[in-house]
Formats: sequence, structure tokens, C-alpha cells
Amino acid sequence: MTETILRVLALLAEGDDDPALSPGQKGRYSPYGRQGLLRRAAPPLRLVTVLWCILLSALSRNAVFTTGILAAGLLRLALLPGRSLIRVLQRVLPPLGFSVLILLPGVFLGHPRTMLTISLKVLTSLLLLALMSIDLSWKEVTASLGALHLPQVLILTLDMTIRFLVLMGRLCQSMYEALTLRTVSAGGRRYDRARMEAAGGILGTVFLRSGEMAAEVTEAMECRCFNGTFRTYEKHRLCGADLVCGLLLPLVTAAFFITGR
Amino acid sequence: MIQLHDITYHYPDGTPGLSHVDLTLHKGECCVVTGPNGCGKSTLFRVLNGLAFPQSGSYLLDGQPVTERSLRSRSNAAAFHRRIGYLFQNSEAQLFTRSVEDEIAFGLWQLDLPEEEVHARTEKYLRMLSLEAMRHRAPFHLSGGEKKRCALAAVLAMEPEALILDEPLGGLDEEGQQWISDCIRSLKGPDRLILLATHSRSLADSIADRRLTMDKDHRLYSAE
Repeated sequence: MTETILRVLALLAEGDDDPALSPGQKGRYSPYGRQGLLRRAAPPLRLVTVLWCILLSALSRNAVFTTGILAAGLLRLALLPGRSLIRVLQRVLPPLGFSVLILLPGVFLGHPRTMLTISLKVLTSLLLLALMSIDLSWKEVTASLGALHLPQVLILTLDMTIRFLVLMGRLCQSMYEALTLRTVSAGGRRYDRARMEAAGGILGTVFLRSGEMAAEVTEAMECRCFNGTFRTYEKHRLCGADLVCGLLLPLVTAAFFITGR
Repeated sequence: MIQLHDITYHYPDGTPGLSHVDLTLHKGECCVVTGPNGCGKSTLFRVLNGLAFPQSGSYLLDGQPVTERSLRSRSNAAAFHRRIGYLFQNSEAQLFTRSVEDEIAFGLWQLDLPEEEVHARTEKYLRMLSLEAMRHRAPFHLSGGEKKRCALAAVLAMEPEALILDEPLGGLDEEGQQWISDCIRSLKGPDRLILLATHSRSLADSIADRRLTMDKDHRLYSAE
């Protein structure tokens, strides 16, 4: 469980979570060099398009628009390589199942349409988000937030928070492993009292270490004359893919109004 | 360039860090500090970088006193840190942006340099430290040696007059140590002061113009 959480956070921090990439390609941040037309579009544009589609499908009062968006999402899903497709489904299906479960009593109370409508919207939103997470790395998302004029300091803080979580997670994991190696419980019980008590020590150490690390980073920033502003190095040049992606926005909006909202 | 006179430093809990340290460093020289772990080398470097302030004694940079008060002004602090580059013992702490090139450019943006200058310097130090292939990678995911190189590039890009390196070879394999040692040797020049702490005798022998040592009593002596 800890390993899974760490892996997810590490992928977020790294931003290159495509398992289809070879080891050489992994970690090579090249958002614009990837295959596929939509993947070549500027990350901010892709982020806005996805968020706009989610917003409109949430606002829409009839199933036609939402189903249309869902169909487009499913088409995109069908074009993904097998492994990515499975990953998307793994992210979409459990929360969808949960929302259906929550809404199920409505069916017995005589409102079957409510369950269908909400489930459809949930599925659409989840699918679009899962597809976005496949197409956009964490780094691209934060870069996009910058392009959308969110303060860069806020984005830097976001990036650093994720990095800290990974580092703290690693620390927790190695301390827990060390603890496991040193505690042999009677009768082979995994969760004995001594070990649980020691877990409190781990949390305390992690808390202290996080304070030290924060101080170290502050000093490092101070040494590099940090004045409260932060800019990124890379700039995106507009390309044809941006135009296609940009056209999607008015098209989706028009479809929203044409289908009677 | 740097003068420390009778510096004594205690940590907030009262643990002694430095005891009556006197030190004069000139531009163009390369000075190596050796000593056992916990003797106060890193504390000395923190004082030199304006990250810790001694309870007694004076610190002068080109005749100007460096105090907590003088560094409280943002412009003074920027001017001071621009002149003194510091490579931390733990490179992990020093790397906090999302890509190697952002890491190198970070300090340059802070200096309000023109964009062309930032790009030129970033490219120069990416090339110099052989980081071009990993320019888009998150520093967080680099290997120990690569992190050290990235941190060094970020410091060098600011082109400081004094370079303070805290155990630059710490945690590196033989190849990494050799690479960083060669790089540090190439940095020696008449316009740059280099002060480094190391446990590597070979690096100290090959680079030092002057050798200093610290003992368990947190005092600094000339090793010659």
C-alpha cells in the first residue's frame, strides 16, 4: 500500500507516467515531442479544453450533450494502447461503482433517471480526467497553471509539496522497514503493540525531519537570492495542434447551446 | 576578500558550533578545510553564507561587516548572495524546481538579468556540467552524482566570486568523485575564491593552495 502511494506520488513528481515509454525516454520531459496530434498541443490549452468539457457536461440538462462528450472520450480511450487503456479504466471504474452504489436507493424510491443522469456525468468527468492524466504529466499541469496566469510561486509551492510528500514517504518507508527488521513479534503477529507504539516514533521523526528539510530549502532559496518571484525557463511555440485544440473549445460550446443546454 | 575575526557560534540549544575562529581568505586562492564529522565545518560555511550569525566576533566581506541586520535588507542580501555561491552538503535540499534547466535559471531570474543573458548562461552551464541530456528531467529523480552536478551548475550560473563547497564528493561513487574533482580543479582561477570542505585526501592534495583543519573543539587551525 505504502509502495503504491509512493509510486503514484513519485510519478506525479516526475511527471512521466507513461509505462509505454522506454527507460531512455522515461523522465525525458518532452511534452511537445510526443506522438499524437492532441499531445502536441500546448498543455494549457489541453487543460482548459478538458476542464471546459467537464464544466459544460456538468451544467448540461439533457443527456445528448453529455453522451456526445462521453462518446468522444470513449473514442479517445479506444485509441489508447492496451496498457494505458487498462490504467484509465482502473481509475474510472472504482469511483463510478461507488457513485452508482450511493445513488442506487434512488432507483427503489422511484427515481431511476436521477441515477442514470448523475452516473453519466460522473463517468464523463472521470473519463476526461483520467484521459487528461494519461496525456498530461504533473509537470505539464503545473506548467499549464502558470500559463493560465496562476502565480508561479503558488505553482512552485505545489511542486515542492508533492516532492516533499514523496521524500517524507520514502523516509517513512525506510524507517518502517528498519523497524520491521528489528521487531520480531511473538507468534508472528504483524501488528503487535510494540510496533504500533514505535510507529508513533516514526511519525514524530518524520515531522521533525520535514521541519529540517523546509529550513534547508528556505536557506537554499535564500542563497540564490529568492525575491518572491519565480519564472520557468521553457516557452511553448504555437503549432497546428494548438489550433485544432483551440477550435474544439468553440465547437464544444456551440454543441452545448445547440443541444438546448 | 573574507575576514573572520574571533567568531564564536552556539546553536540555539547551547551546543557549541564554532569557537574563536579567525580566518582570512583572498581572491584567487583555493582553501581546503578538513576535520572530523561534527567539528563545525558546515557551521563555518553557514556563517560565511549569512545563514547563521555568530554570537561574537566579526565577519567582513571586502571590509564591509556582514551581520544579521545588514542582510535583513533584501537588496543587501541579494548583493551578498550573488557574490558567494554555496553548494550544500545535501544537494537534495538545494534542488526544488521541476526541471534541471529551471533549476539553473532560478537564481538568474532572481538577479533580474535580461532573458537573453539567462538563456545564454543556462545553456553554458548545462553544457559545462554535461547536463544537456537531462535538461527537462526533474532534479528530484536524478542520481546522486547528477544531483550534485545540477546543484553545482545552479551555483556556478550565478557566477559568484567566492565558491563555498560543503563536501562536494559526499555520497558519490568513484567515477562521480573523479568527475566533480576535475570540475572543481577547472574552476580555479585568479578571480575566484574556492573554499571547500572534504574528507578526500586526494582532492585536498591536488587542489589546495592552503589547508585548514578543524578539531573536535570547533577551533580552526592551519594544517601546514
